[in-house]
Amino acid sequence: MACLAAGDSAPDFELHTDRGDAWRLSAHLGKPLILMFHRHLQ
Amino acid sequence: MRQSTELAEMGVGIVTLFFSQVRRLPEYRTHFGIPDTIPLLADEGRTVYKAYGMRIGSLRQIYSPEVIAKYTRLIRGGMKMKMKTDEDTRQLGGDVIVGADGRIILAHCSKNQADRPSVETLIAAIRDARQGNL
Repeated sequence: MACLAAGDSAPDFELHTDRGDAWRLSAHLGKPLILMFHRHLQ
Repeated sequence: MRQSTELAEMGVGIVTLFFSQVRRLPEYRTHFGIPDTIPLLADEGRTVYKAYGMRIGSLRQIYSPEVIAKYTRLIRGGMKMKMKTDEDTRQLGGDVIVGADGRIILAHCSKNQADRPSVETLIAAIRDARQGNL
């Protein structure tokens, strides 16, 4: 899968948070969101 | 966490994804000093990493001079490297800005572990998108 590009639709997803809640991307739209994908060097 | 306050003041949300089990996330929050206002998400199966095109680095990328130099600077700056990991250290990350409408404003998939956009780049991309320059 290639890196997405500006203008593409962001794939929706649901993951669990450190508090144990479910977090779904589509439920948090309405403002810009930065998704920071961790690597081992921050 | 870099300049998260400035981004919050712009009305920008931040979430951080880890390719880890949920139980490891509190350890990461402490280790990296991530504020409680930023949700940490566990993508243990890396399905979201794959869907967004995050790469697996080669050994040459993982141990590039740029990465070694950055690690050296961070260690000299006080970063502790004692955190154990049983995760895939070749998994690379990135930064993706999703607009209010669900479309990508900026996607940066890292070429190595030291490669990431500056906060200024992220802020400029959001400002451009708000001005309709996407």
